[in-house]
Amino acid sequence: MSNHKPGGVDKGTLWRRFMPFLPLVGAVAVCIVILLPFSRQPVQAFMDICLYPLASRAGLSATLIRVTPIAACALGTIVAWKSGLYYLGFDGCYLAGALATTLMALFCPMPAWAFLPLSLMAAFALAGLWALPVGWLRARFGGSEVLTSLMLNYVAVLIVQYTVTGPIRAGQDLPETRLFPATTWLPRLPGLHAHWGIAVVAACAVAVAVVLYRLNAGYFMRMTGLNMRAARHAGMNVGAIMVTVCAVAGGLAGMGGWADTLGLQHRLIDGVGVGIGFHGIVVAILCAMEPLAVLPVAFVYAGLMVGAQAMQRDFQVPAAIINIFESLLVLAVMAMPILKQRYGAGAKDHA
Amino acid sequence: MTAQPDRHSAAYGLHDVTRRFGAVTAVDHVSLYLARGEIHALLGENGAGKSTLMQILFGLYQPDSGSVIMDGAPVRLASPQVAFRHGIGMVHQEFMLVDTLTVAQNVILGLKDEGLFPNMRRVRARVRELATAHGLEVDPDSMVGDLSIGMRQRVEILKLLYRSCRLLILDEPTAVLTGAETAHLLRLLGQLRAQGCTVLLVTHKLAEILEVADRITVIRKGRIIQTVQKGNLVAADLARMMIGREGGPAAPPARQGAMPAGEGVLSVRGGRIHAESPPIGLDIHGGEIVGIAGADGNGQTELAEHIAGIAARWVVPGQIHLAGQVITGLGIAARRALGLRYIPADRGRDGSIAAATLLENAVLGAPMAEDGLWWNLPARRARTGAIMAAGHVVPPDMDLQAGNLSGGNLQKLIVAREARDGPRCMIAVYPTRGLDIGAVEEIWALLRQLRDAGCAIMLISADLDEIMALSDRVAVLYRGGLSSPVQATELGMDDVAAMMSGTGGAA
Amino acid sequence: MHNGVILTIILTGLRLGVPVMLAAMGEVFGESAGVLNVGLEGMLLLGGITSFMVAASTHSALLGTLAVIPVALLAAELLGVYYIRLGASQIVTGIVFNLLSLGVASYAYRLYCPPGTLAARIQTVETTLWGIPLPVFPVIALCIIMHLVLMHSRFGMAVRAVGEAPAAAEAAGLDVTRVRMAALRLSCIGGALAGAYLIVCQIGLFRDSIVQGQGFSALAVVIFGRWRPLAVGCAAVLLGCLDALQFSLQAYVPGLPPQVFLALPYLAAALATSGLFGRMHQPAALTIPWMAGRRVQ
Repeated sequence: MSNHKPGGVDKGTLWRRFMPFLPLVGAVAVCIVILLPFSRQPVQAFMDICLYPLASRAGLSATLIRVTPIAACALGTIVAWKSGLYYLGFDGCYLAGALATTLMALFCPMPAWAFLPLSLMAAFALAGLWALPVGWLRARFGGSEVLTSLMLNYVAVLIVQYTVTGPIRAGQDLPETRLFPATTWLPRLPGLHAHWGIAVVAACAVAVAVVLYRLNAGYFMRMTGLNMRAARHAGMNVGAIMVTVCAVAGGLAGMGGWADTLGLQHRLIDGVGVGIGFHGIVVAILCAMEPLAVLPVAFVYAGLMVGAQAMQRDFQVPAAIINIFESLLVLAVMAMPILKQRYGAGAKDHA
Repeated sequence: MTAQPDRHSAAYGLHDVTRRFGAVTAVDHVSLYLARGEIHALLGENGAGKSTLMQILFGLYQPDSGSVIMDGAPVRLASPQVAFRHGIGMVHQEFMLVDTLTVAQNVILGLKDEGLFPNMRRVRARVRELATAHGLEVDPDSMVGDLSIGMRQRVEILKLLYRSCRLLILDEPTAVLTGAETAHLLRLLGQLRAQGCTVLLVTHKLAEILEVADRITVIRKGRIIQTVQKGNLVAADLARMMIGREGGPAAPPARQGAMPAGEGVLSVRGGRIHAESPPIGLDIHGGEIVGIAGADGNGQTELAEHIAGIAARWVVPGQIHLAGQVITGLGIAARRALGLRYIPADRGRDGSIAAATLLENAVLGAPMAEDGLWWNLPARRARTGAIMAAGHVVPPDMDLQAGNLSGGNLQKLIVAREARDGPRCMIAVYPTRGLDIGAVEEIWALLRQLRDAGCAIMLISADLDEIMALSDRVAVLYRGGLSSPVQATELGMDDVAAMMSGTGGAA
Repeated sequence: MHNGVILTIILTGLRLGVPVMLAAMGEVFGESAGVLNVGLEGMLLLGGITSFMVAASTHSALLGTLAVIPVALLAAELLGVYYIRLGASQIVTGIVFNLLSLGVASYAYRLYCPPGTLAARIQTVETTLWGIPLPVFPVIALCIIMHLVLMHSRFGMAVRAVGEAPAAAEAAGLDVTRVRMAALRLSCIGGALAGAYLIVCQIGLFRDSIVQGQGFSALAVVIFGRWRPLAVGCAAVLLGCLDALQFSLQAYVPGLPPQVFLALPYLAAALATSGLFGRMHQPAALTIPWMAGRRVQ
């Protein structure tokens, strides 16, 4: 039982209140410690990384550019996972979106006002079509969508690799296409390098929130995600829900590919977008699967990544440190509710 | 007459044991003493504390105060493994077997002295030896997952015999057995008693207790009420001790007059559940409850799920008509649209969503077609309020998570939800399983209300009291075959019991 | 195609399939006990960097290989906290662990080989017997041993019981948490050894990108082999043969782009786990956390 000090603050309760935040503090501490071999002032370096997006226009632009595809994948994750479909193939969907955009940019000349919306729709459609078979296989045969979607990521990478080294290659030296015409470029935000893709993703975040919580369809999705058997018993067409959700989730991630291709690279390059899906998943977890939290959380996440890359460029501090920090952060966040329940203030003593 | 052992002479026992789970006191200063060579029955309602008592004796839980006694001395059973070493073994109501291992492997699971690579030949021989000695024939190499319920219980008992257990604790062993298997088991228990073993038998079945027990202990609300010799007791005496009042839940008002001339609503023809079972023929009319009795494992799930459209489990699908329309081959949503409703056996897994709110649960399966795209919150709240009021669900907070409701309130919510919108036909499977008397009566009232409103109800239950209390007509499901329904007033409980064990003639 | 080519494909397949086989052997135990280790991909990376650093420093391939074992045990402790003790989502934990491993491996490599210095190269193990690299033989032997252990030993039965019916296992006196932790350790060691093999026997230097889905392929191969180590081993070799096809078939079918062959193993794995080939009877308690002493109603 706790040691009661009459009149004083109970040591036991203080420790219990503090305990769930321990992993969080630990993550920051570890990050600072591993900066030591590379920087004589690790705490300052850490602060610089964290504040990079706010420190300059370049930093803000770079962050906003990075946020777009990550947030798109995070939204895709939310739509899929909340419906009970643990789809992990967002890397592939990003590439499908990028590929659709590229093909349209190279072979369908049209004025900018028509091109941007149409290419967006094409990206959404192709990415959705890429993801759809996984949902269908799961609904029809009950396999593991986790592994199937993971494997297909690598297939997508190879497809893109084939196209940029073969049919649509520009010249003979680099595995990439030629530069897109200027009419296809996403316009920039006023005063910044960053493009309008972020606005599209923001609109999608709102749309996802509306669908999940204000539409009947969202109810079906959420209930299916919570208990598929009970949803079936209630007459919901769980198979159709899975297929639709998979396609929509894929399409959302595909928009990330659209934005990067038209706003950042302006061509399709072999090896683009590696691991973007997993960053999106991590952000979605940090958001506790709430679509309206995606943009702010993704901003912080991307800011850290961009800051770390600047550190690497300017001071040879390995950017990988931020991967470590962000993973530890997520692990800390995952442990918190469970620790709170078991050890936090107000927890029952073990029976 | 078995001598009454006390704290110092008892072969096994509990001395002044108390055990709490959070705020609930499951077992309250209980003392129970067992002698060698005795069959001791433990009688009590659901939630009375029987399970906890057994689990303490078996080492799954430790008492908060008091101790377990062996040969007069206190002993600490830190885990089931320790209990096994002391010769105490338990057969749980839900079998603790691993489906993907063989019988022999299940028997030696957890035994340390079998060595790193157990000599399975020796194990198999020993299992066969024990099996033959006690009439528990089973193939040591068969996969447990392939065995019938009766055979699985044999494996559970063989586990205890293999470890030379002298105290065998059996939790509702005959709940899932046919009549013949039950008789076999009771004979085995007598045999074990003759060999000097002690058997602690936990059961509801008063007839079995009277047949085989030496002494009987009644437990209610965590306290021992009394321990008696069997002597000349009859079932009524036991029932009175157990519940504290005469008979079971309040008897229903007698149904006056003949069958109401309701229209035929549900009609099932020509299907077969298993390859070797006879074809199913069933008609249910509006305004009647047809009770389908039968021990668990005779095809109840297959019957219910096939008609409700959950899963087409029958070998021959047959033809199902609802209010004149063919529904064979239609999906769940289509059947619901035609007025079919379903109360599943597993309320936590199939009938509700624990992590969702009561509102979200109450809306499950509600017709939404006219609503269009948007989630109509005011209408949903109104509907949920009406459902919760009709079902007397407590607490009346529709934003509460369903996982926080007690079993009784959850089931009331489910029944009221399914009964909403005046369904044509309702299939209810084990609707009051695991509920306390109060909730049972409330749910019976809801079902009767539904029947009086003209709904055709198929009630599937293993509880004979429930069948007799609610049904207008009764049929018996045995090995996938359904007897022709007979008016409840023309049947006695013994007739039904006989049909359930396959020994009575089907009408 | 004559016999020489088929033999070449099989021998190459054996060689290429070893990392997946190693990782899969450990994972079979993990999954049979109910733990899905999506972090296997990260384990390969950690094994790779550890073996690289140790082998480059000590010039001993053996020491490099052995050094991964303590690293694997450490990782198993961390993963075990989330997979088993906290009951967190195994898929999410695995994904995050992969990111963490990527960070740790890159960081360690940066520390060891600062940019500007020559990337270290270690001498890969070249000895062969009948055309098959020496390390392949113990791996095949391992496959057979693992099968015997899982199917016939007391530990194997405990593992399978814990993954199929943890309640029954606990009632039989087994400590579900301890058995699962032991199985998880095997899974992590398998993954780390696979990473060591990649460095010490195949590639000889370290890049962030040496692991391209072999860990995930191991997960797929476990399902394909229905959680039976012998079948899993064969499936791993099959996958390796598909990989090997890219070298042989190119000569025979010159028109096809190389990416088609590179994609074959991934496509095969995707199909294997899609459920097309029959419902998988996976261990019933896989990914379901177990809280000891669950109250029986």
